[in-house]
Amino acid sequence: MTIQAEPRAPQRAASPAFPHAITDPSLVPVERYFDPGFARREKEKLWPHAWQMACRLDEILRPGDFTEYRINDQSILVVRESADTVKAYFNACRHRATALGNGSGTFHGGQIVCPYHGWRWNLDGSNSYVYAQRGFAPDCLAPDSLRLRECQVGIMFGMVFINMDPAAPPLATALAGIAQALAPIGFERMRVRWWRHLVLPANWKMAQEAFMEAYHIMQAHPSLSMGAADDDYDIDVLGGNFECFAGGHAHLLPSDGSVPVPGMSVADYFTQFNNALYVGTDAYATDREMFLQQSLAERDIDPNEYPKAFFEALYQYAAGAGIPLPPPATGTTGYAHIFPNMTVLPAYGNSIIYRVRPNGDDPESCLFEVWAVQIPAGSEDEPDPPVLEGPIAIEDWPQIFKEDFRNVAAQQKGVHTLGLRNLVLSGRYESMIVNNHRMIDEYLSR
Amino acid sequence: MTRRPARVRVEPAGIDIAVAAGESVFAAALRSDLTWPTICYGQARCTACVLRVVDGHQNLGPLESVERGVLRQLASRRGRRPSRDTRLACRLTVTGDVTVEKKGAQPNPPGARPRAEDPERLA
Repeated sequence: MTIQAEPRAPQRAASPAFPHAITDPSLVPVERYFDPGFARREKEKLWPHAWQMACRLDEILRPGDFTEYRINDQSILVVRESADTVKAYFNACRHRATALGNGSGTFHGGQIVCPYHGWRWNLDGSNSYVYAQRGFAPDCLAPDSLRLRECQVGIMFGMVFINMDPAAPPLATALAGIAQALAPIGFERMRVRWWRHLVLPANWKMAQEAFMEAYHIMQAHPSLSMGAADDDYDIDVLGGNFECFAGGHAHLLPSDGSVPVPGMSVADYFTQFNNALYVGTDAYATDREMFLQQSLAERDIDPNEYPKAFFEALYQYAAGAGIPLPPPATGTTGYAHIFPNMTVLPAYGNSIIYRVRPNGDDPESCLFEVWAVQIPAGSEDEPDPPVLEGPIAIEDWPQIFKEDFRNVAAQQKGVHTLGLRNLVLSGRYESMIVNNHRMIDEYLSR
Repeated sequence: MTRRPARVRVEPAGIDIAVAAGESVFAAALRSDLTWPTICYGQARCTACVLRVVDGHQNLGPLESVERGVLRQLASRRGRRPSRDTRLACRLTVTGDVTVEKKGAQPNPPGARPRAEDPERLA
C-alpha cells in the first residue's frame, strides 16, 4: 500500500485527537520536539508497542552472547539462545528485580545468573535454580512465575528487532512493503566496519529527520551540491520520488540517472559524489570504491557511460575477491526509513545505518548511532562483535556529519522561539518525514 | 588465519583441553564437557573458577582491569598480595600451551549439566 503525501495549503484543523497531534500532514507542531507530555505519550504508546532494532545479529554471534538494549527506562537483554534462535528478556530477576546483565558479554554454561541471590535461568528463559527453595511459598516457585518475561523477537536485514507488546503483529507484518523493497540490497550480508555514536542536544525525531530527506543537500552540504546554487541544483533528480508504506516506512525510488548539477558530466558528478562521501562520512564509498575509481581514471571511458563501467569493474572486482555482492537493485535506491527510528543509505554492497533513540526520558536529548557496514569477502572468519565508539563530539565527526549535526542542534534551539507554531514539510521532498509522523500519531492515538 | 588451539593441561585431573584464540579457559572447559567450579557462570564475580598457573606463564593472555580488580580483592580476603600464578579461568586466555591446577575440575558424568560448587572451595 502506498500513502500519497501531496503538498497542501498550510492550515490547522480544530480538534486534534491528543495534544500536538498532526492535523495537517505538512505542518508539525513544534511541541512534538520538546514537550515532556508528548514525550511521555511516546513512552507509553509508541516505544512499548513498536518493533524496533535492538541490536545487530553480529553483536551476539555465539550461544550465550548477550547485549543490553535500552529505550526510555526499559532494559532488555537480547540473548543468542542457539545458532538459529535469539531471545529477548526484560532485564530483571524474578526474585527482587535485580538487572541480570549489563552492557554486553556472554552467559557461559548456558546460565543467566542473578548476582544478588544466585537464582539462575537457562538461555530459553526457564528457571534452572532457586537457592534455598524451602523458604518460599510453593506458588512463588511455579515454573511460569519464575520464567523470565519475554519480548517478541524478529530478525531481518541482519538485525534483531524486538517488540515489548505480546499482542503486536509479527515483524514481517509490521515491516510489510519496506522488507520487500530493501530485500535486494543484501543488508544481511553486511558486517560492521565501524560503529560510532554521540549524544545530540535534540529530540530523537528532530535528529533523525536531518537524514530523512535530500532537500538539505543544496544548502547544507557544499561538497555534494558541487557549486550548484539555489534552483540550479536539481533536487528532483535524487530526492523527490519516495514511496511511502502504511507502516511508517519509506524509500527513495531510482531516478533516471541524470546529474543534478548543471554542466557537470555524469563521470565527474559520479566520482566527485563518491569522493565527497568518502572524505565527508568515512562511509558510503569506501577504500574499495576509491581504488576502483583510481583504476578507471587511467582508462578512456565515455563520460556518459561511466557508471556502467564502474559497476562492471565493481562486480568483476567482487567476483575476484570472493565478495558476495547481490545483483544491482532496480526497484529502489535503498535510501530508506524503517519506522520508527532507523534510516539507511546503502551503496555498492555497503551502507550507512542510523538509529536514533530518546536519551532516557529527556525530550531534548537523544542517542544517535551510526554504523558503516559492508559485505566482506566470503571466506573471512566471522569477526568479533563490533565495539561502539564514542560518544564523539560534534566537531570531531567527518565534515558531512558535522554539517548535519550542527543543523540539528540549531533546529532544537529554534523550535522554542515564540511565534513558531509548526515546522513546514514538503509533501514531495520530505515525505519520509511526513509518513513517519503519520505513523507515530497512529500509535499515540491508540 | 586462525592459529591451532592451544593445549591447556588441567591438574590434578590430568585432562587436556583445547582453547581457541580469544576463548577463556572456563568457556573451553565447559565446551569440553568438564565441570568447573562456578556460581556466577563466567561473569568475573564469584571467584570460584580461580586457578593456579603451574607452567607456561609466557603463554598467558593479558590481565585486564576487571580480572585484576577481582584478583586483588580475592588476595586481600586471604591476607596476601596478588600472585601472578593466580588467574580467573573465566577471564584467562592463552596464546600457547599452559599447565594449570584446579581442584574440582572434573569430567562431567554423561548427560549432566555443569554444576555449581561451593565458592570457598578454591584452587
